Amino acid sequence: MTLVNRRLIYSLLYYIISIATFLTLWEILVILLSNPYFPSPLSIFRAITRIAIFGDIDGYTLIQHIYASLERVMIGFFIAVITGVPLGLLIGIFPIVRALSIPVIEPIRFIPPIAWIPLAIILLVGMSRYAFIIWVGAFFPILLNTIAGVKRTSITLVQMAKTFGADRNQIIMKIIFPSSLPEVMTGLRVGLGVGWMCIVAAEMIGGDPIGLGRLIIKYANLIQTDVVVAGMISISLIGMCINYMILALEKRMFKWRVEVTT
Amino acid sequence: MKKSTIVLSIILLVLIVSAGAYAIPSIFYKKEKIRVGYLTGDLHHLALFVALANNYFAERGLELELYEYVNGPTLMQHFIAGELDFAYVGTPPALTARARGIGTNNTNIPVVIGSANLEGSALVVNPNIIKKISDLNNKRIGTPGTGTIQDVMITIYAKANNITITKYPGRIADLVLQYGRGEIDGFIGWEPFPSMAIHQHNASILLTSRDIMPNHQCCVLVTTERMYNTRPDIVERVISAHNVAIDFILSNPSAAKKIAVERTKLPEPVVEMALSRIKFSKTVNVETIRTFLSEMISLGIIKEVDRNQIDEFIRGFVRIPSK
Amino acid sequence: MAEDEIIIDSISKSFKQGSQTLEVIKEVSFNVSRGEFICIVGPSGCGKTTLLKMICGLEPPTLGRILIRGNPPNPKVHKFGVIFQEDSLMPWRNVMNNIKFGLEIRGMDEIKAKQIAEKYIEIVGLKGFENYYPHQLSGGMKKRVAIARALAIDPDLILMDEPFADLDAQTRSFMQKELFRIWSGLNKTIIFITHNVEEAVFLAQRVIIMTRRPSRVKAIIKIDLPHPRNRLSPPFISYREKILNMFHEEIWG
Ligand SMILES: Nc1ncnc2c1ncn2[C@@H]1O[C@H](COP(=O)(O)OP(=O)(O)OP(=O)(O)O)[C@@H](O)[C@H]1O
Ligand SMILES: [Mg+2]
Repeated sequence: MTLVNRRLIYSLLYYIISIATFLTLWEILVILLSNPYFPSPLSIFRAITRIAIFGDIDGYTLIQHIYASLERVMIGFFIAVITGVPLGLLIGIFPIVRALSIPVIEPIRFIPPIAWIPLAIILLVGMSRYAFIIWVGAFFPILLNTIAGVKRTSITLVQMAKTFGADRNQIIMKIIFPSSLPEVMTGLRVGLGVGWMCIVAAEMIGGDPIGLGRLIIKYANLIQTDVVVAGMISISLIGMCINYMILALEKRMFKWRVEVTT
Repeated sequence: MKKSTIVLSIILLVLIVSAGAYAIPSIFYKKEKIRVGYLTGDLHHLALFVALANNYFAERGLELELYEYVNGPTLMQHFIAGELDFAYVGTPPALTARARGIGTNNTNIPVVIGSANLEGSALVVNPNIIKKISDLNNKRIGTPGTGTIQDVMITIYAKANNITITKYPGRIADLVLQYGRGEIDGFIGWEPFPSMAIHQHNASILLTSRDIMPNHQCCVLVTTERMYNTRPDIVERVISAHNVAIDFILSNPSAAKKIAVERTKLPEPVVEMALSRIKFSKTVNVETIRTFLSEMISLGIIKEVDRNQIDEFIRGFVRIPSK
Repeated sequence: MAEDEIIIDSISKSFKQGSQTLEVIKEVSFNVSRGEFICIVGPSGCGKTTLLKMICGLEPPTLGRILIRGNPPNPKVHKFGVIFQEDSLMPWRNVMNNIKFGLEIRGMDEIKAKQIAEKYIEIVGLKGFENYYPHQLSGGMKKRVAIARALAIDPDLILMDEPFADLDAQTRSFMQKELFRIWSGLNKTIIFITHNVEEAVFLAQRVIIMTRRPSRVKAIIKIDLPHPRNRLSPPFISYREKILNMFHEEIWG
């Protein structure tokens, strides 16, 4: 009990020391460089509060930017989940599906999401464009992890189910799917992370006036680097939050697993 | 004297004379390499294209490395980082960049040394949706990016007329595309893109930048503070090439149009319409630059300049060498 | 003699490994009567597990045929209670839900399945561990969960592949007695694979001794001893020695 408490206090202490040292070094660097485009932690903090309370140059607040980006990511991510997981299961389970889909999927996998953006701008409109870019980013981690999860399924468990008279559906639903779920969740976590990074790039290209990527570009255009970094920090914090939320969910869902990758 | 010797001497003489003739203008100049920035397909920068096509720079011993950017603010980001020596750029991005760098040790902040054009932007809209100014309310209007002259002007206009528009910032070429698909209800941009939307997608002009601010300074020729102070000779040569080009445009409109068509690869009617809305002028309209600065201070785009410093700032910003 | 529950009719099994063919089982024949307790012993790698998988229909024989109550083995027709040699618990299900699995597959309703599972949890001595996950159990506890799961569906035929190998001597002896009690009470047919000759003599009505690969039936020994059997009694020891000798012949050649 006291041991746990002491540990907690220490790790908290290290955390604070680490952040404080970093900020101090940064501030010193700002003073040494005295480069007007290199923002100080304090000016960034002020920028964040300013954008959060009064909004940006077009009047959109930080929350609106965050919400816009999150909404886009969630829609694309949702589509990636409902396409990636079933397809991953099918590919993992049926060699014929694998043989027919891998020749097409494999080359596409090596096209980075960013490379799709110009095409998406020409072919797609509004939300579908963002959703598509997120989908490209999130789909492959989800798909590949699901396939890996299926492959990891123990043959003994499948045979065990068979001896109880389980049919193919039951084997998929009661053995293969739950057994691959940890990998699927890893896929979701990685996919969401990649999607989150893609949205920023997609928003930078243009279109709607809101979104964290757009916020960054707006202020880069106005050469106000404090807001630019404020936008970057918001992206980082939200990406981290998403990651930790899924990790926590994984820990809860897979208490049967001795360890969960962090 | 042998016959062959005579032939050889004649050949030599011809060679020397022709080389000399070719090199005469540049023989007085030391060869210099300069880095020049401009914007994607911007006909405001016709002087640059004419000067290149007619070798005005080469004649003055200048070799150009050209860099193209999607909009003025992006160009200015590279400019103040020291990647360019000269640039054709809209007045507001140049004002922003100078304001951000003034009072610092950055020597790459811009100085205006010439005028590229006045006016020359237009707001084109879907005539079925927007028929009059008040229809603009809550419509999606594309701009070539936050901080561009078009973005600043539409903001000034919307504020003055009490309308709210939803700005859709994007790359200028994409705006035409997005307009064609109905993703946006209109856009404000530099020529020839409004004319392209009119020809390709039956857009119609709601406002020109002249309507918003008559005779406003649009694009300017800028150099860095360092170049201005350390290499006045080069600056002078660039200004001279630029002014000769503007004179050429004004006195040979059809030849200039041909150069513009070649450069943009657009149909002649589009280019013609575009050019009809651009006022080429060697004289900088300082008064409108002052207006821009004052408006940009009100809009919160420029925070570094105080209202009572405007005159001083403008004096530092526009410094055409007298000669 | 009771009617034949299982007829194993000169089956052979070989595995193709690339260009090579591994002959594992060669012309094995024996019958099992309803309610009989059969133990199979044989050297490691001779094909006991393979034989068991053929009996429950997981692997088809290369040659020959297996009939269970007149039909080829089919888990959807016959109720098999199979206890695998390896760990076969689903790590994502706790003890209760692992035991309910077979009942679930057979479409039994929740409440009834839970009642039955509770009964078998009690029988295998895991009361209080219902909510434990497999990674929180010892090897022996896991085996007992697997046994409870197999018994819960009230199988026609119980197939056990070295189920007590992981257990300590006390638990093993206890489980042997428990298994015997279950068998004699329920009168189930059991095929039980083991390395442990003493265990075979203690439990079986007949012990089938397999040869080395390619494996045939070396001998079938009927254990004519009343239950409960005394491991120290001279006839027990003589059965044990007889089978051990045959066993060693196969191991050492
Ligand atoms: N699916 C398979 N493919 C190829 N070879 C196999 C397969 N299954 C089993 N074998 C081979 O068949 C032989 C018999 O294996 P089996 O598992 O039946 O042995 P066992 O008698 O159960 O051994 P142990 O007592 O060690 O459990 C082994 O040599 C094994 O390598
Ligand atoms: Mg085995």
